Amino acid sequence: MRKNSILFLTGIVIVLALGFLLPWTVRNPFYFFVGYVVLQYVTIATGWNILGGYAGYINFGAAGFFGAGVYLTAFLYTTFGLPLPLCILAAAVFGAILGVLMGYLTLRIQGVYFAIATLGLVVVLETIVHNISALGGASGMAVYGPRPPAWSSGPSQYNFTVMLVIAVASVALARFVEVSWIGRGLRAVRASEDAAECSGVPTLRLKLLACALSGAVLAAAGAPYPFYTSYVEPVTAFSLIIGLNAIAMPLIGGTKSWAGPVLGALLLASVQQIATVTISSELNILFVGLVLIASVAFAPGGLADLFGRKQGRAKP
Amino acid sequence: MSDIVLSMKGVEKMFGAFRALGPVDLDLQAGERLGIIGPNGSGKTTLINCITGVYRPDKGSVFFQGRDISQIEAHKRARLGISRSFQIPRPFTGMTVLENLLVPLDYCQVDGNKEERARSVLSSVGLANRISDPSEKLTQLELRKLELARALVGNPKVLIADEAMAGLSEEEIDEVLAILFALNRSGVAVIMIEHIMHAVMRFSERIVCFETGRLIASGTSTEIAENPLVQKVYFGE
Repeated sequence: MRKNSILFLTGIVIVLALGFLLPWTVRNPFYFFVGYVVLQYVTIATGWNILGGYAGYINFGAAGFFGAGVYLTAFLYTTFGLPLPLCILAAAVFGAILGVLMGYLTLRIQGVYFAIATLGLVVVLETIVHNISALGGASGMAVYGPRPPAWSSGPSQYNFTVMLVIAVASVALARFVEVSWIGRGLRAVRASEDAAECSGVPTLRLKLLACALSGAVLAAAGAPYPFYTSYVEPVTAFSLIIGLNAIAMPLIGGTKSWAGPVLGALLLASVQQIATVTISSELNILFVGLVLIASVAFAPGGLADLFGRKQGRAKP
Repeated sequence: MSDIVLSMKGVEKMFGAFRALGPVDLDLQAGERLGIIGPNGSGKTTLINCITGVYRPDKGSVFFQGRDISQIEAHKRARLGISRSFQIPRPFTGMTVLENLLVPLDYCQVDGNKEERARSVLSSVGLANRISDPSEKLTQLELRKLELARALVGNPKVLIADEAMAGLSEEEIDEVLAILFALNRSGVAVIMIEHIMHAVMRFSERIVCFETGRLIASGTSTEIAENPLVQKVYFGE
């Protein structure tokens, strides 16, 4: 195993250990309530980046996958009483299938046309949910989650821990994709599809794989959400803010490696949460805009790229 | 006939009502050095796009080692052993020079250690000292070399060099020609599409000339230079 992989695995173990220990040292559940949102965005940004960053296909439909994960969990739990881990797994599988379907319909177009087509996914799914009474329609549905297990100190802490595991798994998946033949193929697609295809890269199949993986992570990010809010409704689940953040965070952090979306999400989601508490929840989007402008002006390749250059590494 | 590696029978390509190519009949012998010349818009690049699978021919067939490959995808043709470089270099930006070569190695099932193979090919084209550099930092000559290295790293049986010497100085043209000659000596058939006449004349055992999508002349460099149809295409009446 390479040195970088060992360091990465060590980092994962440390983060997970800290995450599991934190509820026993920090007593105020509010921090876990906020931490959940930050980790949720780490997962969303990481999932988006598999297709949008590595392959260069800008997906405006992240909220569609997230909302699908939210509603699938809400439905499976309230109807069949499925346990949360199985709901998350089901959401990931559903997101992957949705990703392949979206990819199959849209991947033959590129650039702004692809972006608009993916935006359509959100509208279609939201409209479908609006019209299904079993999912609560426009008024939404209440989801009374299970009691947290004995090892957890409360519902907020439990949700935080669940989201942490999903986020860590997503980042590990993204890193695996990045350093493997899949990532090299996707980056070749991003640089030149014709050249990639003529180098033996099955571009369409690889892009469909990226859609599936990205969709799975985005839907998994939405899976615990019904238990976090105890109530789901279409406008929030398919919110454009999720789609906007999914794009802004990797762009701010850097799209070329797994660390970029993580950095971008930690920075932007934290700023948003602090702004929500200290100034106004309505100013969230303003902060996204300001940070995005600053990022384009001072770190066009993202924060990860900026740090890389500062350390003397070549610009990727 | 068994040494024909690539064959085109009645290949035609239309873009709407515009006939960009054909019908074309053309064979390539194993290990041959074939030059393709013709003015801009004569169908040279369309022809190689039909060979490599970027375009599917509207009529006719392309055979590779006796197998009809007309309808198979470009990446499968690359895996079979048809490789190309591009008129305008298309490096995989965001990757190092070495990683650029690992892409075809990942997907073309080449035996042995991938990284060693990539390093060896980069050495053979004179890019050994640029292995860890981002491909964006290469000079025009180095980009051309990278294109060729990426095309030949997967052990192709046919290499198509699409204007691999465009924009290069005389010394640089000699360097690229030396690479192509060395590759050909290892048994790879090379199709050279080129506007630099002295280079294509030096390199090719046989030259074909295209005009308005049709093959109008075929022969040795001397025969082509003396062909009245070719002279008319290049110098007018």
